[in-house]
Amino acid sequence: MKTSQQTHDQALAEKNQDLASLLEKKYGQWLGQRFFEVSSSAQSSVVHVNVTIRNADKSFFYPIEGRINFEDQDLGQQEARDFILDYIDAYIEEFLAGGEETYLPIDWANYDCEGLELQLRGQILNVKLEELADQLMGQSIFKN
Amino acid sequence: MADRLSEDALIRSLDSGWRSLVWRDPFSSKNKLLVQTVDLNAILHAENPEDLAQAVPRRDMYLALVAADPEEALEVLPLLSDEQFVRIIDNEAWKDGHLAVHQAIRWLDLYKHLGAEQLYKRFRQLDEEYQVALLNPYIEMVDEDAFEKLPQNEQDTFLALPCNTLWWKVKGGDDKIQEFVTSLVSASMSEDAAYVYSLLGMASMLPPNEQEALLKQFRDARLEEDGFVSLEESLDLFAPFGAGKDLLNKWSSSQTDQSSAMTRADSGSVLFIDSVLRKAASSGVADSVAVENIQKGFAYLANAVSAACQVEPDDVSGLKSLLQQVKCMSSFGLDVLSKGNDDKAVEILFTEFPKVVFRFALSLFDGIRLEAISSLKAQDEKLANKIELYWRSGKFGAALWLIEKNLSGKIDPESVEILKGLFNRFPMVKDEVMTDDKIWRVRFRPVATVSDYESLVSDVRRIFSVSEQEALQ
Repeated sequence: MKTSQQTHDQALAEKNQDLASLLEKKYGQWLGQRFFEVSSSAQSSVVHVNVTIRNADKSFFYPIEGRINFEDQDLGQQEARDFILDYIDAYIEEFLAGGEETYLPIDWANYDCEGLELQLRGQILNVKLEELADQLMGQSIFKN
Repeated sequence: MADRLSEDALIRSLDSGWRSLVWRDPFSSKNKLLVQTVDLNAILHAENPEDLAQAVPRRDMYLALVAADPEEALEVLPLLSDEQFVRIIDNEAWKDGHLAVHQAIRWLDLYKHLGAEQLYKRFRQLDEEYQVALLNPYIEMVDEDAFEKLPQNEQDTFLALPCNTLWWKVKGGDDKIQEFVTSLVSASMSEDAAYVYSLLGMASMLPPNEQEALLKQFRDARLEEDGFVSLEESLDLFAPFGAGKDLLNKWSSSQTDQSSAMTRADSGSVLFIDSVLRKAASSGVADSVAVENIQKGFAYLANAVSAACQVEPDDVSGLKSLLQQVKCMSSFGLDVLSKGNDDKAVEILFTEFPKVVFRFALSLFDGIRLEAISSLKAQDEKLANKIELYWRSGKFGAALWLIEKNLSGKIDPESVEILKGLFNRFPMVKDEVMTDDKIWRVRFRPVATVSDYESLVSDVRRIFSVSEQEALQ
């Protein structure tokens, strides 16, 4: 028997999967072999959303993160999540349609939109290379 | 769900015809730049750079500046004529039919870096409506009486004009606008104080949006000179084309000298239209200016479809995609009309408007679209009728969404995509299926040749022959 929390988590995961698929349909022309992943969470009064554009081997891995203190700004949790997603989507359009030359700050930065404040950050990573480097660093340089 | 991520937003994106489906243009084309290249460096080093810069057509200069590196562009900016600069603002400072003040400031700020006098000069050279509309939402001006009645903290936000009987401030709390307006007023004050009084007075007194609405009419008229027609006219380019048969008959019956010097060594990597124009120029059938004008005609056609395809005049990369689509489609139309004969193709290009060839090409898909609708009717009449209605009324995005929503899971995913390619604003044929362990995607290519068209037709017929067989079993 599933707990209500598990049911809620599953519904959210399905919703995020639908969103990722919608984003792929919307921006198909610019994606090539890349795809979207969406996740979201809420802790106390802060909603956090992560939309990642990536390819299968993670040599292109771009997590775009947004967060908002929804209680401070008189928003419901769902409303806050939608608001961040809307803003991130606007950024994604600018990023992809503008030749992938518009970047976000690496660390959290404040943005104002329609009188509401949110924070965004993002960094394009080559996770594949990082993992490879970690593996190499982990190996002993001295052969037995 | 968020507005931008709603079903409506997706339908709108599908309706653009070039954003949502994955496609590539397999042809190398010389005309992907939209215009002739402008050598800004040569202009800067010429004896009379100002005359040379001002002789460049306005749209070409705008695109050259956007593509140039910022330093080079900065040096050219003071050389521009009023009209060239207004055209930059026409292209850049509008979003969804409204004045985008921050975009205008981005360009005007470049003049600020060149000196206060340059900022004043350029701003004043803009249409009066631009000058007022840019400041209109942000200026508040009060006389002595009103000023005295304000609380102290409010008074501190106002600046006095030299007469000390009028005060003004920038409303809205936007730092960028505050900084720009303050620099502009200060630069203008040292050049012509009377102008500042008049500008601030008009900006604060005139009703909001009045100037913007007036300006939009002037701007739209100017942009039409470069082919950026209204939305209605743009949508008309995708409307049913009744003259297709007459056009085909006209060119089928026309006799062209088959013994001319032009012979085409067909290359699969070059678009028919480009190959024909190249041969026409090299064999002396047409001079280079005439060929350039034809190429320009297609760039204008790409501009003309931009409103229907949701591309703004400053979206150079979007316009390049549209140019690829309209050229591929027109090349297909030309191929059909000329039956692949180069001499006849040249004659057609120099006789018919690019939009006629383009619309003729689009009309060639009516038959296979109808065939698909009629096959679909056998399985789901209601759905087929709806798709037909959307297609015929030019609502391509809604037709694609219906196909996706109603046929996914009922027929195989590749067939769903093929049907989406067929009913796309620019019909496209399956190029390949891209797949790895995380994605599965059909990539399309524009229908640019008769064989592309035949592939699309055979793909569509296969879908329905398979479903008929399944129904029989």
